[in-house]
Amino acid sequence: MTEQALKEPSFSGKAHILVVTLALTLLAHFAAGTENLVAILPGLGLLFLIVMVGYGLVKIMPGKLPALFWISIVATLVGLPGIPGTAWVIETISALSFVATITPVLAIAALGLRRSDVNTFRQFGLQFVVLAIFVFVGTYLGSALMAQLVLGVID
Amino acid sequence: MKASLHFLGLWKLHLALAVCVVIAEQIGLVRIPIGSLTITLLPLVFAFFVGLALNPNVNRWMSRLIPADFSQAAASALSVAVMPLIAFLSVFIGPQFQNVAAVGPALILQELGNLGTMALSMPLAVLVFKMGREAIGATFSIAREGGIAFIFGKYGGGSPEGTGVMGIYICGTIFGVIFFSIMPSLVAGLSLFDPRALAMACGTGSASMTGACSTTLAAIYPEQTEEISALAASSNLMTGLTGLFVTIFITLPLAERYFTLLDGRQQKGASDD
Repeated sequence: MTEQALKEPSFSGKAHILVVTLALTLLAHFAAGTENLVAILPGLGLLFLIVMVGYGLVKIMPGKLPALFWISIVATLVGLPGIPGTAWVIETISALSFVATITPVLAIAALGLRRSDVNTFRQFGLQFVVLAIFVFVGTYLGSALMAQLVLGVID
Repeated sequence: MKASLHFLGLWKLHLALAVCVVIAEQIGLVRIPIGSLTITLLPLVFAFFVGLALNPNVNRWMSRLIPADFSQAAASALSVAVMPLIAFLSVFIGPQFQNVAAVGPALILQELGNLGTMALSMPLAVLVFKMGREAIGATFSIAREGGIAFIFGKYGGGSPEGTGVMGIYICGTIFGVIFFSIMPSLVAGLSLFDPRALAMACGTGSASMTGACSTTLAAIYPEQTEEISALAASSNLMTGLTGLFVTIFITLPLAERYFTLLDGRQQKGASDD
């Protein structure tokens, strides 16, 4: 396999990527017909800040926990009720459409498929496609079934 | 690949991304009724397919307009670009804390539901596709970044297990999100499951799959949007937190045994013929 290792972007590189991604998110809201685009700017700014603070914590906190963890923790904390300002955070983020926020990510995923990805995929062929479908269905139904059973007990 | 390529300087890539986004959002949300079921297609699905059409590695026509190595920049940007989604989803955990805490046991135990992955797909890999140890890498989990790191660390990148995990990873990259935006609407259409259970099942450890899944569910159950987002995000966080431990102590040892069992049965069956 000639998979080139993906280099992790630098701290400032991450900031640039976020700016581009969030600019595309703004464009998505515009194309989706959002009336007041100015109203969603604070939300985009907040998302930028939360993610960057999360990345900052990855650098300074011990334990080498993944960025996903820290970003999730920071976002949870700024949304906790009972702390001054968090109501504003929720209101500000709620002004954004999640559907429009995820659209640019899929565009990046599609344009991010490299020749090596496409080739490896062709080489593995249909077997992996069928297997992947079973893996996805198994994961989803397995978890849903388990959750449903436990909900039935605790409700 | 010029290391000096600056993400902001890649104007052709940005233009291509903008085209994807605008076309996708112009199409908007599409509902396709199939009998009593409805497939809900979100703009993200269209963004993905327009992106494939514009990707020079997929569509050779595009290589005149967009250099193929631009995909490298987009690929390394992806891990950062999904993070605002994580932040977006996690912000709603706090306000929904009581609802999340109320279903805490379900949230924890549904992680074990991920074993369903292996139960269903390992027999297919070993008995039908006659795979070797590739089957372990391919079916022990949903094969996202953490799974790859773990398998590569334990068995090595060029190992059969490594090939297995990469095969599913690439499938997941190519159509995982599409799958996770269509499957929940089909399963929800069966009306067998509590929307909260479906929301928890969305937490796969992959930000984009979780996002696609919970967004689709929220479109189906609009009155429960915030609870769905919160449960999916918590479940995703839980998978991130416990995933590694579950993998090391439960999933992988079980995968090894399950494989040996199925492979042994198959070898025996083959020698009997």
